[in-house]
Amino acid sequence: MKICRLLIISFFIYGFIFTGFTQDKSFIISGYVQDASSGERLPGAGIYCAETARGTQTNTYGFFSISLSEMNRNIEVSYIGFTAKKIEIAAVKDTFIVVSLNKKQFEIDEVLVSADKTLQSVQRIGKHQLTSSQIEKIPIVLGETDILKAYQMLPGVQTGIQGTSGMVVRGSDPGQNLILLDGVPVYNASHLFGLFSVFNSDAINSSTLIKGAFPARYGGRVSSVMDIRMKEGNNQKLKGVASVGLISAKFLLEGPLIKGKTSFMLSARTTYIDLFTSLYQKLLYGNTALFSYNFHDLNLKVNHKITDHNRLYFSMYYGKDVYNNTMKFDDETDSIQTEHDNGFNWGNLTATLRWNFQPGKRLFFNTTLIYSRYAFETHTMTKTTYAADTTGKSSVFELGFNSGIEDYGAKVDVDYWPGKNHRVQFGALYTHHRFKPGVNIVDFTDFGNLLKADTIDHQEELYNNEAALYLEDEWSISPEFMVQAGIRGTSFFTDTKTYYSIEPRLFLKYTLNSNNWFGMAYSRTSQNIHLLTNSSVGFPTDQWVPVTDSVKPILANQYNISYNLNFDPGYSFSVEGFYKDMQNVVEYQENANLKNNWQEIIEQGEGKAYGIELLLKKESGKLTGWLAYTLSKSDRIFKDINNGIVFPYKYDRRHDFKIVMMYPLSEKIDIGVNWVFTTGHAVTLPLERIYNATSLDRLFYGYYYTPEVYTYDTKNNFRMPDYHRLDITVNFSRKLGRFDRTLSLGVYNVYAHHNALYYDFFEGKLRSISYLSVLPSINYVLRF
Amino acid sequence: MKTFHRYKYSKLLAALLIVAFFISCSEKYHDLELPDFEPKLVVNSFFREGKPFRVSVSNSQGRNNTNKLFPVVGAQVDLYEDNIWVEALEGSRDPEIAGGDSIWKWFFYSCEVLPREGHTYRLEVSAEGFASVTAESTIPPRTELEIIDTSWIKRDYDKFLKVDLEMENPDDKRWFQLIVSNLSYILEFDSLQNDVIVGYKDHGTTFDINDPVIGLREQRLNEDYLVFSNELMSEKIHPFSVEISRSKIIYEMVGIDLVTLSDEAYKYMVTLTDFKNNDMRYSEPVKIFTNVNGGYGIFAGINVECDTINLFNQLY
Repeated sequence: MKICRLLIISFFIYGFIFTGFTQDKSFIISGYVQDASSGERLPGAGIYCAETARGTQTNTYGFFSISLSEMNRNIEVSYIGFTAKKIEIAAVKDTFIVVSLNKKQFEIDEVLVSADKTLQSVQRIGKHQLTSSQIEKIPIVLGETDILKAYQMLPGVQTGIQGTSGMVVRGSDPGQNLILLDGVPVYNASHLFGLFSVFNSDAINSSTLIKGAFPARYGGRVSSVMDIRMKEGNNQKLKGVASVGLISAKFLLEGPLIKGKTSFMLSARTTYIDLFTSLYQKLLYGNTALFSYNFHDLNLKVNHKITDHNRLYFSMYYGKDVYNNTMKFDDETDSIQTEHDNGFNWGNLTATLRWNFQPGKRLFFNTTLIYSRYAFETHTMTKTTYAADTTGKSSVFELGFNSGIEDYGAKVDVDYWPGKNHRVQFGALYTHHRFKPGVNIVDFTDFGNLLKADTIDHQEELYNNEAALYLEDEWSISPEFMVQAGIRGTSFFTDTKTYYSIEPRLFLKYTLNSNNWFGMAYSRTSQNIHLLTNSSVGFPTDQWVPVTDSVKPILANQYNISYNLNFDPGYSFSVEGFYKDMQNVVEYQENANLKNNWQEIIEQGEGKAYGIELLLKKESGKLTGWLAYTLSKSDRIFKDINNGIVFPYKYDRRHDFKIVMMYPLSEKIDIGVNWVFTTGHAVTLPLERIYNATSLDRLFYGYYYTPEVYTYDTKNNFRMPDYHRLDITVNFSRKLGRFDRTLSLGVYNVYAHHNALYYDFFEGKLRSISYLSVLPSINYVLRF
Repeated sequence: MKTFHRYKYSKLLAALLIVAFFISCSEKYHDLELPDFEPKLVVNSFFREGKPFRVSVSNSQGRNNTNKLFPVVGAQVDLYEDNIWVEALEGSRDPEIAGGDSIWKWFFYSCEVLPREGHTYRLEVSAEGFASVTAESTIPPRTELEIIDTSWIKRDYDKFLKVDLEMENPDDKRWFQLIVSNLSYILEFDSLQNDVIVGYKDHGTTFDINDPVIGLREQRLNEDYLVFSNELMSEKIHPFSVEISRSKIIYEMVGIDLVTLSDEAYKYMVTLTDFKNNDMRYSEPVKIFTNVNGGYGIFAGINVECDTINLFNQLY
């Protein structure tokens, strides 16, 4: 309550001061920036006035407001991947405009591009945006364009394990990333056990990754924010994309329902890998074994323009993975037949209803209702039939487990431009969480007699509410000096306890000259839900759990310092240092029994991550791309883990180096090349053999017959071998009548380096196991 | 013709891609270069009231090292009772173990001192080339167990020996292990060349238990044996029964042991079973519990209450 009052009073004082004192003889230009070909709003587009050396950017919904004066009426509007536009405002009065930008056309010849002051003016520490064309050209596994995989090519961002989608940002775990799809959190962003993300790139309009200097409007996670926005649908004409690849196919259809007023976007994707695997199994095992795996997802969005200043949106995402494995076998005498069936499925469902309202030239409201659900279910069944039994009955044992999380929420975000040097954002959010950490269900029938039917609720359902308020101002004190200061207040309500968190955010930017800027930032963040994971691979069995009376929220402080340089046409260089400390990070206890209540088997401790990131980009000319290097360290310490001694975190990778290159061979052929190198992550390996004590004692000897056991001394005592691979994709584009066709041929891991996925004992020795050596792919895309 | 060739090559390309996909997805194993490490002393001993100490001292070896584990001979093993030095244990081979390919496995350090319930025992072990280690434990109080009745029942095309038991429920929370063994005689000739029973040899056997307190709610380690606590027992004397399949009973003597475990022993048993059930590919490996400071192994007190059943003439 106190926090609420404080924030509201602050806003009014702030608004009064800056509205009152900054009004001068000027006029306001407000409006939207959009894609000329589709009418899609462009978030984060830069609007810059060279005469005043000041600028602003569009908000998440493409809206902007900027103060100009009679003497300074020229603005330049630009957006990454689009051709900038210069506009001279004719009338010296408040004006509403819609600026349409055209996508940059592909040019073979080298083009000299002057330093883009407009885009530089909106650059921030720790913020990255990749265009859809960049994402499409980055080669990845099996020819599938993947947004999260593309961002893993940036400094400070790594993959969890070989080929997986789990993002590790600055030494934190995947559960500390806030992944938003149209403003709704997505709790499990992986298909195919992490090989692909759930985001169909055809359906995505824009994406932004923020690793530090978090604006106050973002909260709930301590490591990063991945803000992904779906396309709104082309409001001019019907367009579509269909593609077929090695293991999946997808399509997208978008267009106007009422031209210029209502549009829709629908996309779907499915895999047919089970066709191949079931055929393979049938050849090897006949009808005695069947393995199947399938995933599918669907994106839908409808938007309706009520008036020029009122817009309504509805969007939803649905995705599911289903895995099943059945085996049948008889004993040696054919008197007992046994059938094993096990499988699991997991999936997300998200929905948003959003209303954009612009009541004035300086004000923009966004109100959103959100729903998000993630559910995971596994089952196993063993059926035993005796040939001698004539009743036809059998003995059946079934075990099921399901868990999940469900959110209902509402939020209001307001953008306010009180004066020419300020941009104020404030808002409120309320979410009702329902957690189902895990429910076991057991059924055992013995020849028709139900012996046991039990629901073992080791993990009871938990209901929690979360509320947040935020306020921030981006203040251009002078053309050289900009301050973005904000504060976020969060409350998380459990049954008997309420956790409060005050999170100041500060970003200082000093522009040395048109080519250089220097920045510093501080962010305090909190996280009220934890992701419990007991493996290095991103399995859907990982559980989301809330803070409780005994389990506290994670609190983190991050400090950043950065220097950025633009030089020569199209080159940019940045160096950024970060330091992050975290309290109350969560880890399973050593030898935790996962059947027990999760609150009893976890420890909370501290974490630290720090490092330096270098990024050299070339964004113009024939050859484009970037080099990224990260040197970092990440540690953890827990009182009752590893005897209370500091140990390297599992995602501690000292060196991380990436090269991304895109080169057009001709107008119709382009090539994309990746090379990734990262030092091995830390794992715990049982490196020592010892006698099993019970094998030496006659009392226990008959039961513990394993004479040796394997153990280890310290946690994360081993470094996996270095990971590196080279990927190449060649795209052949061609126009076929009214269709644009692209055939992509790619090779993942060209030189077949064996990148370990996990380790196991094989032929008496500890060995690493890898999949995905050289993997060719093919993808055919048709656009109309 | 051109279309036909294109179609043929497209099919070939598709087939090659599919084959390459499956080859790529197959598992490949690679040697791991493991780091050097300093071997540590491993001290193993379950000691119980009324039986002499037997301590095994060996050393750890590398995971990929295929040499057999071997005891450390010539170690200095000092025993303390309640912080007072008692004796230095002497090493020798266990005379009761005959043969076996790991004959040196049965090299123990022992002494004549008999441990006593309620007393705390500490070992200090040192050996050349290794860092010294220490370990400490106490024998928990014995828990009474009584066989009330035995009977044979038929079920599921099999015959079972049902044993009704009663165990004492102590006031404090303790951990127990229930062990059922089939006992064979150890015979020797006397002066008249007659067979004389001089002892019994344990042959562990499996059994079933359906008790709601013992069998289902507590730490059940595997189907062959049972580790449980008295936390949910309400009565002073807790009745339960076990069933042993006739096919598992070869010898006429059946022994039932109720082992009261110290905390250290319990934790060791739990991690041992976790180790056997762990799939290292997808989850963290299990750290075998140790109370040996500076080394590995277990030095733990237990107390055993045993009872036997004679099935003379019932097996035929």
